Amino acid sequence: MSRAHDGKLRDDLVAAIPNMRAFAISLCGNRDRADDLVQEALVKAWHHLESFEEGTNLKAWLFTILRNAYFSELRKTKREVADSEGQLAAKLSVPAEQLGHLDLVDLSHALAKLPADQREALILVGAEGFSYEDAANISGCAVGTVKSRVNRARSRLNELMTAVPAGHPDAGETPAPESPPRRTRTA
Amino acid sequence: MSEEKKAYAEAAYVNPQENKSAPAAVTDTHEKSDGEGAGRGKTQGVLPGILGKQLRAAYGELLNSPVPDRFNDLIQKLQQRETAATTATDSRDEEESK
Repeated sequence: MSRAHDGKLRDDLVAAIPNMRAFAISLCGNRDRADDLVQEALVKAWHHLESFEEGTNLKAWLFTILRNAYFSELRKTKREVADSEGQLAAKLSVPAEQLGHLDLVDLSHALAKLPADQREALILVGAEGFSYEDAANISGCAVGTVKSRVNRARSRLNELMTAVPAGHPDAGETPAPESPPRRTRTA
Repeated sequence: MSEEKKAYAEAAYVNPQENKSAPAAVTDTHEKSDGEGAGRGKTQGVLPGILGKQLRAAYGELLNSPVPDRFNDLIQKLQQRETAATTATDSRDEEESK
């Protein structure tokens, strides 16, 4: 591999940092932890650039390293802290002030309640825009598995986001086909 | 958007020759705002509707948040370490000296 090409690859790697951060934050729901994960993944990727297959999807490769770091850490944490995945993620979820938009806060809380594998699939396919095939490669599972995870995530999210807390002015009837912000959502 | 449109219109008025692209750009804007009002479900097939829109908006917000300095520092450090290693093994290679 020529030096110049290496440089280009490295530029691409740097350019992927915002995506890696967004993915990591969505996965673990905590910015500091997410940045630690991204850093770990970046260092790993940097030292193994020669194992990246040219012409393949660099972002997918980086995401694979990142999610593997996340899930292996998760397994360790799980052993130490007997806590269900959802509860853990909810505890670590992004504070409301950091998101600004109420809808997004609702969404991030709802996301935190999903099992990690479903959250991952939903973000990869629904937010990052990976194909099911790429998402399957990243997560190391079958395409069908990704599809069913996305489906389960979607229906669970719809449930969570339509469940208006009791006492909320919007509780009860919500026809509103225009669905203004902060009203009950139907997808 | 509307400012852009105005700018296009003004430019077109001043020099109609050079602004072949102006009408197209204006139509684009119209199409976009029409699509936003009516077009639900026509975006990505995987997650149509409001949920998908919200998810992409939330994700977009994360994507656009500034990257902390620690990552610049990290990349610099990685690069420096590598340069040092290269110069150590191949003293003739001055390509990488900043």
